[in-house]
Amino acid sequence: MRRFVLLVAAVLLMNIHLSTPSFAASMQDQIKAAYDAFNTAFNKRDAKAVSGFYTDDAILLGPGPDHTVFKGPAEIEKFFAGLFDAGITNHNLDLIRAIGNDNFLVGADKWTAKSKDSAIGGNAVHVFEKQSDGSLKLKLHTFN
Amino acid sequence: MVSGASQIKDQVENAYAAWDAAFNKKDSNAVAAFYTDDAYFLPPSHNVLQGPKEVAEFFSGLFDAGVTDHKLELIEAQGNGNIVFAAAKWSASGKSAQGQPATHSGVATHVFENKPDGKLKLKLHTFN
Repeated sequence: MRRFVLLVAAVLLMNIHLSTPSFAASMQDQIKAAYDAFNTAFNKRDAKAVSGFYTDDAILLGPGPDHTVFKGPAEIEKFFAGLFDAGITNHNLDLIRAIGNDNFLVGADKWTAKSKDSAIGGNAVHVFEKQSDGSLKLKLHTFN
Repeated sequence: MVSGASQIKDQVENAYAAWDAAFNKKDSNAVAAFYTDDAYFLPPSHNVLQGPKEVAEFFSGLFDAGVTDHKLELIEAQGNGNIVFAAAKWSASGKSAQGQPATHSGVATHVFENKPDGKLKLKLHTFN
């Protein structure tokens, strides 16, 4: 009996041990895949493709001097077109923290890019909404 | 759905009012208590601060620098289940680089853990 209880306990522990990290990894993997797609579109200087990652009611909060609040893909596309015209390239996102539930995934990360010859970067938060087709779209994006 | 959305908005506005009240008392421990133990805080300095202790140190520094009258104004709040997220405009009074009185402001994003008792705790906070 004692052996059986120990066996059950061991199996339960193994399940907890296996299931928790795999859920976390899959959340991180989903966010990283979305970041890869975003970076690819950015680095092709394709503002339309970048804006396609945002929901129709998305909000983008940039660090510009007037802290403009950009709403929806059309305004967001203009914002990124401006960055591409200004020569921003080599965008990359490094995930530092993932949070999520069935509907939303949130990534906190470091962003880096090149502005002509200088390296630029900062922190960002991306709030993704899971779409019915399983893809992720950005509802809220802030960076500093 | 409408009542859910307005409930979330009320929850966030209450959390913002409580956060501003703690800030404006210059109580860095009370501000830090709004953050979960595993919270990440990403200020415009581009540091990555973790947990209430590092958060308290950051705000203590702001209070020493004379930053007062903090106000968060909700732009939008959404969420469901254990996650609520919100975008806000923030403003505060402080000093310019030349030491003159100045108003500082920007935008902020808050990701809250929605506790079973309806309290919101910050898991992630960034501003610029």
